[in-house]
Amino acid sequence: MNSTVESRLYKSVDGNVSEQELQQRYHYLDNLRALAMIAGVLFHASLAYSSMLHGLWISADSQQSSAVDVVGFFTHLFRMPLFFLIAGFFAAYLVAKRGMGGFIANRAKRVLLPLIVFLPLCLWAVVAAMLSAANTVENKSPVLAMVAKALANPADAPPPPPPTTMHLWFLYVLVFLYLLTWAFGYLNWSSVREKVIQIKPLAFLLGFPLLLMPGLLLVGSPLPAPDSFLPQLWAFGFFGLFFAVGYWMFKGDNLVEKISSYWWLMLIGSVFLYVLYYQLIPKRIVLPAPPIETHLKIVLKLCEAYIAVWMTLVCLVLGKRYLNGANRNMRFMADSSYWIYIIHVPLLFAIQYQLMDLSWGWLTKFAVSVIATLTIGVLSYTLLVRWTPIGWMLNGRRK
Amino acid sequence: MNYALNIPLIKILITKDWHLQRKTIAMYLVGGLFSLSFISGGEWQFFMGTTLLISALIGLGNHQITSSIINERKEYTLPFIMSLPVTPIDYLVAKLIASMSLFVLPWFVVCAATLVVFWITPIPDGFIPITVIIGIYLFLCYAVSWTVGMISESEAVSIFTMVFMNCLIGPVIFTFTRFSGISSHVSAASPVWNSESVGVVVGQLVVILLALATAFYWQARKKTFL
Repeated sequence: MNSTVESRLYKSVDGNVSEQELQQRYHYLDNLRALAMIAGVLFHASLAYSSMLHGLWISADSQQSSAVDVVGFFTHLFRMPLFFLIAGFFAAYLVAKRGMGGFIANRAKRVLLPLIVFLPLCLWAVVAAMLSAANTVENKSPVLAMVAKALANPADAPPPPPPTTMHLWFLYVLVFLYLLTWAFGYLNWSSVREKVIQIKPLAFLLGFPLLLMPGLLLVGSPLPAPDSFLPQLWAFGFFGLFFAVGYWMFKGDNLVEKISSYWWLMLIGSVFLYVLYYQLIPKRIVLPAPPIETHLKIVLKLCEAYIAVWMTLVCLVLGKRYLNGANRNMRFMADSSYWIYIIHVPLLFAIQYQLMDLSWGWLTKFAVSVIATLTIGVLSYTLLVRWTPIGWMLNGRRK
Repeated sequence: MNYALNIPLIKILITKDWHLQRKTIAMYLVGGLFSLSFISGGEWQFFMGTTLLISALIGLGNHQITSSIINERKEYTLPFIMSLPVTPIDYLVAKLIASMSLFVLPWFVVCAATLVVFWITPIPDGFIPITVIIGIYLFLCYAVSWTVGMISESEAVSIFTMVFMNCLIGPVIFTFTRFSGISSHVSAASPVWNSESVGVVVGQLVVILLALATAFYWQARKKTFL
């Protein structure tokens, strides 16, 4: 959704939302969302060189580094929470601007339709690249070796894994969150809102992460992707709450201003907690995950909750401070990031399969795979998407 | 009997029911989604989730019949509708389309989601026939309760029918799982549709059609609402 100026204003705009708020463009949120998506490309590219996920990632390379895990799993804790918070903000923006009917219609076009169109294509591309790599790659990853073995001896092959929503899980979860937005729209939230507004910033920073704990305790660490076709309760209890905070943020609670003076404390606190967290998480992830002691799990989940909230808010504060201007390049990145994110996983796999037999270092391979993926993404967006019906579907018609 | 339907008015009556039921649908949607998201959590969560899902479906059906048929008479909405140029059969068609669309869509989603669970989890697909039978039975309960509500227009009779039909869910599951043609294949890797399971499904569909036809016949005999 682009927060571009549109003349249509919905009559039943919430009393707290001014016309000016509906007309302004939230550059920093557009830019932060784009950065979150590009960070997702970097994260998925880095997993091929992760020692933690070596046994589970299909394009896992023989070259690995624990530095990838240290940086990658830190961003993993707040990248998608930030994305869902921004999604919640723009959901409220759309409801205020177009009404609930307009909101549902817009989201069906921008989120549900791309999911229906691109998920089968991405699945097909990933499987096609995997089958080709199973026959051609010499230095296979453990998962790719398993696939090659299954292809060679179909009778002894383990049952295929259940179908997933892959990296497009966020669109799938968003569809449900939009439905919940419609359903909860019938409830009267004014008394709740009054109480929420009275909460002091420090109490929010210390208390809100605790609300995430029930959801987080339902899954292991590091956080998996809720990519099953069955809706995941923990995803609603975690990402759903960030979405709700974003929704409330639009209603004029000035959350970013209220907490802006704490940003450096939250950053230091998050880094400190992450040092503890990284010491405690397994250095090699195996499935099924072995059971861990309850007190250890609680500590891990507390770290995840506080880092996710604090770093998301740090990003918002810094984004509003440094990314809130109109900039042609950032605007292009904001527009193209959705398309790049959708196509990046099949592209990355196809490129990384070609790199697996080369004797380059992990950093070179990582840089080549990222640069190639982003280049193809930007070129395909410029030539095939931006001015075509695909671009209209993803970002709306350009004026 | 005159069967020329007043289509514009029927459309308005359907829209009216959809509008008045939207909050109910929204709340059951939240309940249904919660139940569905519970299913993948583990073994006991699976049983709890499916129980909650079936309960949400039963609740939606009963809530809808009570608020759109029974309350319409209790709250004197029906006398207002009687003042419109609408025949009993117009009223019945409007109620049928409004109620069925509001119930059948969530019912279909729940049934489809349940079948997806069989597809993506190691639960044997041999469970599919009995699951389909239970799913259709829930629809049968709704159809019979709806027909009784439309014919009797009595709160007491309708509630009794709903309770009676829903009390039969346990015995129905118990009985059908004792059919050798059904029970002997529940552990199979793929669903087995034999004469017993197909016969039960066809029998249920016949009862549903008979129930709806009875409501039509009853209303068609009426010249006025009185």
